Amino acid sequence: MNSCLQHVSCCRQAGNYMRERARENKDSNTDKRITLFIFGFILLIAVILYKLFTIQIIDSARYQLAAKKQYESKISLKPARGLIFDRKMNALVSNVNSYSFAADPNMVDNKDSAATIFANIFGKDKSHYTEKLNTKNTSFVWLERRIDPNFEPFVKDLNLSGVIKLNEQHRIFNYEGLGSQIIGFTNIDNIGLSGVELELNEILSGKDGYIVMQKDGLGRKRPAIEYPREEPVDGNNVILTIDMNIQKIVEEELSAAVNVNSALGGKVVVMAVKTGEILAMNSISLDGSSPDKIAVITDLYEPGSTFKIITAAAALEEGLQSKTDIIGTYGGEYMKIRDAHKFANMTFQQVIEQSSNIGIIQVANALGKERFYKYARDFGCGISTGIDLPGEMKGRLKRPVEFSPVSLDYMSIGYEVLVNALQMTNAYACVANGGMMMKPFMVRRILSPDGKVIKENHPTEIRNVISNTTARTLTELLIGVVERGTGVDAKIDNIKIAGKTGTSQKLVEGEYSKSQYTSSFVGYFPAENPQIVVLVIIDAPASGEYYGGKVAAPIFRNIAKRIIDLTGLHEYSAPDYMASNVVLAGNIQQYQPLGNNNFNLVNFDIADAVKILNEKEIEFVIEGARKNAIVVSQSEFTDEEGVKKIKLVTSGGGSVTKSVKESAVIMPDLRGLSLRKCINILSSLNANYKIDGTGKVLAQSPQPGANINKNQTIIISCGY
Amino acid sequence: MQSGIFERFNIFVFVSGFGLIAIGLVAIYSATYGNELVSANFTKQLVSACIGIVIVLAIMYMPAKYISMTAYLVYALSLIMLFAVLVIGKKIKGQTSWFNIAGFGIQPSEFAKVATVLALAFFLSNRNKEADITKPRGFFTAVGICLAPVALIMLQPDMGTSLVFLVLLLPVLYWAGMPNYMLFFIVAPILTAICAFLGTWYFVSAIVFIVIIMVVLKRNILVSGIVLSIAITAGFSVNMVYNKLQPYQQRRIMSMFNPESDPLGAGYNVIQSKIAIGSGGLTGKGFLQGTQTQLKYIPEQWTDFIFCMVGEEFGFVGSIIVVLLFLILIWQTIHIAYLCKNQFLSICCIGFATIFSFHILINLGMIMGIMPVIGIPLPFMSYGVSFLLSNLIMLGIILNAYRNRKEYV
Repeated sequence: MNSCLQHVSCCRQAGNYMRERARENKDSNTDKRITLFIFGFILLIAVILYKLFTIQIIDSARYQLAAKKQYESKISLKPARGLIFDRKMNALVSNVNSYSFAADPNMVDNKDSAATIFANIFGKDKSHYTEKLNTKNTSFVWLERRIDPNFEPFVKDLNLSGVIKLNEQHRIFNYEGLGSQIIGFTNIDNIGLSGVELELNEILSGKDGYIVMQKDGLGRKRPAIEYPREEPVDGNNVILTIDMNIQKIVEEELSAAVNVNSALGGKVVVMAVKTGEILAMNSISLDGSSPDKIAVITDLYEPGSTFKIITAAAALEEGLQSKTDIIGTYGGEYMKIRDAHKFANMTFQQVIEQSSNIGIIQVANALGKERFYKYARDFGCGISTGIDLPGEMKGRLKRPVEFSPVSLDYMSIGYEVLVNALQMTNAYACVANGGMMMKPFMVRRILSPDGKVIKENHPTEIRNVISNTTARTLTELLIGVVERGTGVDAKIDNIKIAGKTGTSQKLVEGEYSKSQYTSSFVGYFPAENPQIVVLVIIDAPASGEYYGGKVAAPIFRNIAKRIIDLTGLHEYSAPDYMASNVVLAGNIQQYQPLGNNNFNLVNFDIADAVKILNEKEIEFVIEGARKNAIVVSQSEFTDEEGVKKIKLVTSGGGSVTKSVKESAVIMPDLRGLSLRKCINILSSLNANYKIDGTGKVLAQSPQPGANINKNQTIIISCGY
Repeated sequence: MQSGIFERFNIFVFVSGFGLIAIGLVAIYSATYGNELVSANFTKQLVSACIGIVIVLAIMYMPAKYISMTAYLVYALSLIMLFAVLVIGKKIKGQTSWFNIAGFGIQPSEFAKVATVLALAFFLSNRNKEADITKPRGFFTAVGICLAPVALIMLQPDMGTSLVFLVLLLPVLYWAGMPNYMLFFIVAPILTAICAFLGTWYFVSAIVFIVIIMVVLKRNILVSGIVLSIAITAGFSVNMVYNKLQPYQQRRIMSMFNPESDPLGAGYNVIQSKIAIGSGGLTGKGFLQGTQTQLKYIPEQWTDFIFCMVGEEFGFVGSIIVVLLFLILIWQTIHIAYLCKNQFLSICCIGFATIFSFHILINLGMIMGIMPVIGIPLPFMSYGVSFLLSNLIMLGIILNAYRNRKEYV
């Protein structure tokens, strides 16, 4: 159509020339000639437009398909996933490399022989591979993923056309799964499934790079290196508020307690009072739910007597009660509610210490449902804590209009209200912190791969729930609970503990069970200047005892005692606790430099440590016994010859030095080779390389014959 | 007609020329995007274009006689440069076409195109007898002016650029007054040779066509017989020469006509460029969004294959705009050649229009797979400082011709 229009306008233009010509009386030949030029030119433009129209409009779909095919031959290069550290910079996870094999079916020259080779190596049926290699309409199929290291020697030199060898990473836990519930798991594609791995998946995963498989328009291989290659960007590192020493204590004690009590499960939360940092937490569920479920925030329960602190706080803050006020407790029987102790009257202090249900109900009724609701809400019931972990359930707090005639009674003693364990811990932390509620958090810092701080989380105040005076009074009441009341089993010599027991009947099939209880204890210490709050919940203890004071309080005591032994009650208040670089006693806190090849041999048997170091071909020095000893510390140093070595200190005397020669890789002479050949050689050395220009190799760094190590980048410059 | 400032300033030529440069800059930016090695090319081209505006205006306002008087001098200088580049030039990709002056690569063959047109135009616009191209002396002098740079450029060797000079000759001679029959005598053997190469049926059709034209032209039987026999000889000898070539040489020639026959070699770029512009569709994939351009499937796309970026990222709409700008520019140039009473400038315009048209035909034809890949860049758009400046010098002379179109000398 376009060319038609041009023809028309051209003729008109040619007509103009004629008229102008006649006027000027020029050689009439010029007219014919200019017309020839114009028509020649129009023909040229018409051909171009026609062809453009054919390619870009009529055949466009075909070319779009071809482009897509080429585009799809892009293969991702995986970055190293960021590491997760505890507050003392212990790397909690490592990335382990394993080989995987994939193929581009269009590019495998001899599918039969490739299938035979794989079948022979991996002992699978040949048809298994033939089928994969004959997959249609794809340029990528997995042949084997994360092969067993035993197969590695057999596949080391495997080089089949169209078969891609990929170095895939996967995660392992560094401390035998310690903290695994919070840290979380990843799937085979290294994507976070739970815990911090899920919550911070994007931050940890980095950015994929890619290489473009070199294919021409006919789908054949094309040996060219001018195709782009983008290097992957490694993920960021995450530093948690968790203290692995405390986490270890928590997991050991909880697991022991669940066993001893033949319980269905249990939960422990340890939190820094003044900052809201989670120092440790774990849960065990033997009811068949997933072990990576963070039950501390996902499971709701009726807290029972531990909830009375909220009723008490409201009454004190509103000035309705003082410690010494006398409350009628009806001899331990009031309506359907029974107390363990049969007193006619009790002081308010006794009500708390002996956990009198009837006493608290009197207090709650004096308070009224509106005021009661306000305080329960302010203490965080029915509101997400905002913890940086996935899956928190915010629980349920009835609004006053929803209350039944007995709701206030039951709620004041911790029934008809659903909370998660972290909410309950935070309510006590709030009291311990002088009435200021802090936002609980788990992620301290996010560091870029090269160690720069990308994000820093600071302690956040949420709201002032009660006055300092009220908080102080509540702490005194809670000290009494441990000194004289239901929580005496939580008592520790020389340290004042403030705490509260809780025993609630579990709702089983819609009715309160007479045999299944939730036993809990929550407390903080040292009571004079609270630093750490610990909540212990044992779910359905079945070996006789079920009172919180008998089941949970001793666990609290064990945990608190071990934390005190460990930290010497260091203040968990300074926001920059981590940077203060405190070295604590214990086994697993060793500073480790950042980097993704981190490994920590502390706690390993020295024989195993030596084996690992030999395998990794790292030079090292041992200080202390070399047999039947445990590694107590690990550090890096540079000796007189400038060689980096690792120093291990074992539990024992004497010092033995052992050197392992680093296996030397010699830089080959690549000069004069074609770039393609050069890349093949460099790949076979497993070396990192950078290429500048195209053509033949003109220069290289390092020079031929030089020793190269694995982390060195080899620079090749090319030209003609 | 136009009035005021436009009476002496052809805004169409100026705007279409710089419009193409602007689109070219956008395309170079996209084609070199994220490629650190060549990202300076955009800046270099931008600087050249800015300098170019000054050059264009300077040439435009120059008295016309300055241009004609220096024609031979410029021609002589360009021959010296072409000779010098063979001696001291830099060898890049097997061709010695470059000087390196202050970080800028200078390619003398680009300036030689302009110089040769100037020299030819100056020679042909002479009114004396020596310049009568119907006589052997005048004809062969004109051919000689054209072939001297060709010989030097063939030594680089740069076949594509050489071809531009050869193609230039016929239209210029024709515009300068070469009779129709002479044009026909020259065209006939070339046409026959090409057709013979394409196949027997093409060859036979070409012979029939030539006979018909000869009947129309009514030249005497002897002359017609000679022309016909030269044409037939040319046809046969092409096939004889081809058959004596080595197989790899034959393949290379075949791939010029049929890129798909050699998808790994010369055909690769053409297949890729067709995929790039074809996948752009009607409206394109958007600036910096072209998968083929951004993944650099086409090597050095910022030079000869710059149009791929326009086709892929701006689609058919973008392509049409580029083609229309070229249409306006060349149409105006031919129009100015017609209007211009100064014969020297008139011949120059025809020469430049031919150069532009040939570049467009070969370059776009190559990208669309209908022309051989011989390394011809796209005027005003392809990256290349020498190429852009030589284009702008031509633009300046065209504007000068328009400005002085009513003067005879």
